[in-house]
Amino acid sequence: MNSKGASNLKPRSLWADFKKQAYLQSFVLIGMLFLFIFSYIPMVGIIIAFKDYRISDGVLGFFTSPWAGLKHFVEFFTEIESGMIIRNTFVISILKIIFTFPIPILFAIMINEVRNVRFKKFVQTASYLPHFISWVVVYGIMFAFLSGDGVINSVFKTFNLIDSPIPFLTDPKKFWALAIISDAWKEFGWWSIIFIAAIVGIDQSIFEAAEIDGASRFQKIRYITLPGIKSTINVVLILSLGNLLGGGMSGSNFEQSLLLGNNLNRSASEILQTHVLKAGLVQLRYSYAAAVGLLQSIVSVTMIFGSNAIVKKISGTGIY
Amino acid sequence: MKKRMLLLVLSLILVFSMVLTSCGKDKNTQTGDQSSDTNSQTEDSKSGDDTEPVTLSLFINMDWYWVDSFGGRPVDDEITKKTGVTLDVTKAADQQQQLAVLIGSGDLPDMVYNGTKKLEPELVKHCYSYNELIEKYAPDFEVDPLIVANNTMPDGNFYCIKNNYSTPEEYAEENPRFVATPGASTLHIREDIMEELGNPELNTLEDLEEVLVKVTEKYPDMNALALGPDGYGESYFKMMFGLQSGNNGVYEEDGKIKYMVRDPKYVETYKYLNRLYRKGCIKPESLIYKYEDYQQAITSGNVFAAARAVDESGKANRAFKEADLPYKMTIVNKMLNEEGGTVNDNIGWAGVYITKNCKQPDRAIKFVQFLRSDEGQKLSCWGIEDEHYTLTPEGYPEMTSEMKELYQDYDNMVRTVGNMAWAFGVSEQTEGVWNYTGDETSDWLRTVKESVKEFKPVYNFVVPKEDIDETTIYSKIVDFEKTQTVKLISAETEEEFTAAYNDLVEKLEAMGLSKLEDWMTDKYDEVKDRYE
Repeated sequence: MNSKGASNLKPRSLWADFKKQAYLQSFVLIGMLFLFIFSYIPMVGIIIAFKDYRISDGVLGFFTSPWAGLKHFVEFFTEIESGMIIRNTFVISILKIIFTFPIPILFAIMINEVRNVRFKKFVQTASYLPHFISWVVVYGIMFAFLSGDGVINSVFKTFNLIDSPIPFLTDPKKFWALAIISDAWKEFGWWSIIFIAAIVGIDQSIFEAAEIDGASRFQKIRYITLPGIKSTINVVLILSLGNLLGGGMSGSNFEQSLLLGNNLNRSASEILQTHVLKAGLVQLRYSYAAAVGLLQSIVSVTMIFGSNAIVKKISGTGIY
Repeated sequence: MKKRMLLLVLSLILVFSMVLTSCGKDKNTQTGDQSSDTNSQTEDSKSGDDTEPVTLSLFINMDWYWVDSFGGRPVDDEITKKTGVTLDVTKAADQQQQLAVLIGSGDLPDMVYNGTKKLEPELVKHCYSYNELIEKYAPDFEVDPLIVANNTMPDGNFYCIKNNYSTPEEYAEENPRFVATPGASTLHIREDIMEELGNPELNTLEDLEEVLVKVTEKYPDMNALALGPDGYGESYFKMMFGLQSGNNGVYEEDGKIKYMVRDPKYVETYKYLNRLYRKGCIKPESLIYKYEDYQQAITSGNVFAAARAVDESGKANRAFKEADLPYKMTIVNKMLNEEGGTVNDNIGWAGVYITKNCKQPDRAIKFVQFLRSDEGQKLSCWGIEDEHYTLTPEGYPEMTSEMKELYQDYDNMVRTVGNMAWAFGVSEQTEGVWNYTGDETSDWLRTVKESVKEFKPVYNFVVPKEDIDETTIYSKIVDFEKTQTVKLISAETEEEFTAAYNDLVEKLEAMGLSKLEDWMTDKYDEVKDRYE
């Protein structure tokens, strides 16, 4: 009888735990399998960044081709356009974080203050719809609006505001603004959902107590809403910084540069990812492309560890 | 009882014949196995019948290809009847990589139909050379020495005969129906606007400039000139100015090989286009048109002159008709510059490679021989006589009315009839006379064909393809130049143009242009004798 009671108290083996949760664990397993197949196995390919790989050698060539050391990395930094490409990648990415990161937060707070439920629903739905349009289509829309004989130039012309059409799509000076504004327009509604959810999660009694104490609307936002969603902001910020070079939250740098970029504005639009595509798939320089891609990944990994550490230090919460 | 006897006899016959056929098969495969051993026997294969049914596997390294199976079409069946060959076709799903994987994994089929030059040096390492196969199995297969030179690889052998090629002699022959390929760059203009302007003279490039300026003044919002995307439109003006380089982008001067940007004609071409840009005849947007934008600008009536392939005006006129627009587009049917013309450095397009995995290389080479023969070319390109074409008294093909209708939808024609699908050995001339339609299109294509100033197939062999630094430099330079031409065209002042041009040359130098040119000049000294 004793033995029976003791066995109940003994910590159960891991396996028994696992068996009990088999149903739930199977979900985790599928997720892990997915990551393993699509994220871990392909990492074997990184090896070609350090080799002189030729596509004609096939997959086996990953292992049989001769070592090249850091040749391809050096090649990238001595490429005549590498300065321009690095500058564009960083400038676009940093501007995107600065301008597109706060917009969903502000929008979520504003939406939360709206009292008319129908209006609120309408605005929210309208704001996140563009997220579901692919960049190819967005480019088509932008071309219709912004080209020389597009809607905007035509309107300006009718009101005699301009003599010659504004070269929105071809002027390198306008590319960065174009990229950031279009990205903000397309994604702010979608990302505001997560913040709206966080705001809804704040205990309503705190707001009521503040009201009784005579807090104004702005004071409530400043002292209750913002601190209430602080941890959500942290998580999203860290994730965005991790994907900084990909374009932050939306990860749209590649699509934008590929579609909105052209030979006229390429001095502002060519970035690491489009360069990798052209070197790898167009010029068949696979090893070189892998090396440049790896450089970008290294920056991303550094960013995610770094930003997590900093945020943890400042606010006490991080993603892990 | 009788019935039972009959059954017994019948089944015995059946068994007997099965044993016999399987023996036959054994023998066949044996022959095949032996002949796959490169240096052994020739007599075995010769003893076999040339038209005995055989299946050869074929990989078509073109992901856009019209068909992905063989058999069931009139031309397919006729080919099998004549050669005994049935093809087991695999069409590439991705022509960038799939062949590379096949080479890498050793899974190459019997034959590969390929036009990708990048992979050629790797592919031929796994192939039989034609010279070897012809000597052994098809001594009566004669190949023009020039064609041999065109297809010879650095190791001195040739591994395929690229199609869509005709020799300078064939070009020189008096043949009113032999025209350039429909891909030739062409200038199209709006006839209705020309009439509005009082049909001004249009004989020179200066005339063209004047007309374009007039159009711009009258219709400031219109694209007076829209250049076909991806350098297509620019190539028309390169032809007008008589660029010294061909498709490979290199030319020879004083025994040295140079890249086309150094050609004074190149500078002239872009100076001219830049002047048109500064006068507002070329709109900035038109320089970033993707093909659909370009097409849409034309069909909406927003373009006066357009430079691209020969079928643009036909397409535009059809669209105008459908939309009920009173516009009409037509081809500018003459060379606008006396110095205009092209350098033909064509050595052909795609060919059949016979791999070392091929069990019956003797049949493969004979199959190629048939497709190269006059009979094979006509069958694979024109179709079957009287059914798909009739011959004029002069011996030119004339499509039957049914075929003419099918020809309007080219893809469907190939899928239904099977012509062009297996035209692996067709020459430029055979296809040229078939494409002849007798309208303004043919007139222009004939002008283009006759504008060839020089034949320089040797340029194909000075361009690096091996796995060396120069190959990377070459592909970097070619890609970079393509991104920079719009900068030349869109320079705001003449000084800016000169600065942009100097900047381009400087950057190409930094990429290793001089090193590349030295390498190509050395190579030129090495290979030029081949053509003498």
